[in-house]
Amino acid sequence: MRALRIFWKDTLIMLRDRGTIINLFVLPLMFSSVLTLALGGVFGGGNDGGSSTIHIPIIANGEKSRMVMETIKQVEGVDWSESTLAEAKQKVEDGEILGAISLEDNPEGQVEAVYYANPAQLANSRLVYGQIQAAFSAMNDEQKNAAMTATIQSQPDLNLDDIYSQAGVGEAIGVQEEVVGGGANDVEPSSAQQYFPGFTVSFVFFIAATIAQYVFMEKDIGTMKRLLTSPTKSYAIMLGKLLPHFVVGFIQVLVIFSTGFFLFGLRLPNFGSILLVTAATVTAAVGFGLMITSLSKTQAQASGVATLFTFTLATVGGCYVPLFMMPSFMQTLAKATPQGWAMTAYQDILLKGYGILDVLPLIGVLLGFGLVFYLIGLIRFQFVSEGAH
Amino acid sequence: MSTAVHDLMDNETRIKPEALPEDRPAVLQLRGLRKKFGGHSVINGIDLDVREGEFFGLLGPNGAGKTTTISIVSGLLEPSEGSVDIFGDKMSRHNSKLKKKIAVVQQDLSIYPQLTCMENLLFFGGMYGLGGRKLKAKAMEALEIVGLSDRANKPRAGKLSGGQKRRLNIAAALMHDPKLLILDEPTVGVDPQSRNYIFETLQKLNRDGMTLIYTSHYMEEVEQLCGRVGIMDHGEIIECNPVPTLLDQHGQAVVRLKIQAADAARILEAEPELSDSVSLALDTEANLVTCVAPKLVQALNRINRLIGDYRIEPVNCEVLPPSLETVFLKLTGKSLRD
Ligand SMILES: Nc1ncnc2c1ncn2[C@@H]1O[C@H](COP(=O)(O)OP(=O)(O)OP(=O)(O)O)[C@@H](O)[C@H]1O
Ligand SMILES: [Mg+2]
Repeated sequence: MRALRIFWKDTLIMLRDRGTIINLFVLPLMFSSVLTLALGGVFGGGNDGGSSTIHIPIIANGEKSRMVMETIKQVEGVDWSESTLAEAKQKVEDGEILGAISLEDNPEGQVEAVYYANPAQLANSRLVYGQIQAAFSAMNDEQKNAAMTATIQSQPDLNLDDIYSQAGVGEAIGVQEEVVGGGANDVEPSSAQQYFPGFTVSFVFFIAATIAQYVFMEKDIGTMKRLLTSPTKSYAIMLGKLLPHFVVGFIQVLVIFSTGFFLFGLRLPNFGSILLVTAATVTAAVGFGLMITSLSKTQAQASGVATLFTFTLATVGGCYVPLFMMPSFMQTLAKATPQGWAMTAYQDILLKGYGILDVLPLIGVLLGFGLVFYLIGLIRFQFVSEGAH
Repeated sequence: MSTAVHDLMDNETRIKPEALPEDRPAVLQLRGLRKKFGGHSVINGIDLDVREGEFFGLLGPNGAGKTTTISIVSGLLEPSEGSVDIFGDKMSRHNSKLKKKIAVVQQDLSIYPQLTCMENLLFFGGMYGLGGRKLKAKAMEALEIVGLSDRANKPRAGKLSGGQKRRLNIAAALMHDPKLLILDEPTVGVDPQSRNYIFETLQKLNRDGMTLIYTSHYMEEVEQLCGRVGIMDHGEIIECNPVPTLLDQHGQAVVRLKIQAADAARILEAEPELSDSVSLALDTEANLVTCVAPKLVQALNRINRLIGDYRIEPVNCEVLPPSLETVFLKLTGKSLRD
């Protein structure tokens, strides 16, 4: 009951504090919207294909396949390398590469081509796929021309239809597309799908700075002492001080995702899963804030540390730059951050349509982070600071 | 002496407080109280009884340990040694029942600047378990007592004047009708008018039966308000008596001489250590030479010699009656406000 009064009091103060509102709502909305617009082309639906070289492995089995491979390798702008099927598929599944192409001679002496696409990069992946198809048809046209020329030279009397049939040129090799990785679906990944969850996660953790601000405010203006000389139990004070930030976290997610949904066409499948991931993320974030507050001596220190860690961890966790673009050691490092797990969980839901059961392990990890944060925070928290005066 | 205090002294409408008879029950009992921070000892064994209905003053220079004592009494800090009993019950951090009976006005303002007076009071009242209509009525009453009724809903507390903030700070302590009210320098930075208002409020509360403990740097405040005064220095209560008794036992004559800045500089150069058997102090900022001696004649002689030795043209010279200030100077060797 008293916790609720403290909750309400802090909420009131927060509502009157424009700085906090800007930090927690306006900034992430601005970043996610602007970056989504600015980098729309780089992500899904883009057409510049990227200026850096794209790495696509080719697997060729059989003589004809090898010939086809040589032709494909002439397509520029792509670093075509030979690989084994298993290795290539694994890389696609891990999100390390856009896709891979496998060529195989079948018993009828034709080449069967399969393109393995990365579901998280479907749009870019399909650009590559398109190039491969173009290469095939160009190759086919060349063969056709050569064959027709030969036919015409040997049998000048034939009419056009006969030339075609005599030349005996088959259809262009059709490339079959296969999307690799679990939960493959047709959701087109977009910059919105990177930046809306990215800045949501990043700024949900920025709550840490606000928590520190509000706890130190209470201590600095002396009202903490007044609370402590009242019959209010310390757990109620703690609860009342943390509660508003849970609510703020949920509202942040709601506001930022809704903006993505209504203005940027961000699809939100599986609302239940999103809610659960949000609950776990906010829990971890509030714990993170409590820990930083408890380990700091002053508000300035806490805010500095909170800001530094919030944005460093968010960067490492893949909130700003997609994880698949990072080298593998960075991807491993991301697993050491709660932001990394939250990001993976949100993107699994948004891109791959994962359900509650699929993201449950990720939620578990987030809550684990939270548990550690709360333990450290509660053990080290000082209601009155002895030693400092 | 600050102008504020001067104004106050000129307001000779005050009633001299009286010490209470010994037979009243003790509201607060401190026994062998000690507190250490790290290895540093701040409270060095305090024994004190404050009786029901008393207006008790705690005087001490900066760092004497007044706030620390109050923090222990109010359950904010645990003592390193000794005990605190209030209304016969042992005080501790977790004694909620006892906390309901007392209120503390902290030395630092402790109100939310972002909230209005009313919102502040409703919140703090709520922390004492008040609610609904009663809470609202209490808040109005508290605002009335400190004369802030017309500021209930605007502006926000942060925009109030210094004196108004202090008054709100006191009002917040009155929400739950405490039986013991402890005030730690509640009038810092308050204009004389607000100060008088606060004094009247406190005197009325005391007349209505509330026990008050009051700490201050201003001797005159304590002299005016408190029946009994404890003088604290280095974490000990070195003297504890009704004001008249203190004046009888330790009162000294004071002569104040105002001189030119150049003269002050000359004296300081020649006599860096001004004090001798007759206590003589030079306040460099105000160019005031203060001479304190057990007898007025001694003090006058000393001042006279100073004028002769240095050929000073005094700006002004005044003789002050014995006061708590001189008592304090004699007991601690310090002026309260340095
Ligand atoms: N939390 C603390 N940690 C370490 N030392 C402290 C702490 N609180 C107080 N002290 C020290 O204890 C001594 C007494 O401080 P206290 O605040 O009780 O003095 P005071 O009499 O209230 O002084 P003032 O008149 O300036 O308010 C000071 O030397 C102070 O530095
Ligand atoms: Mg103090």
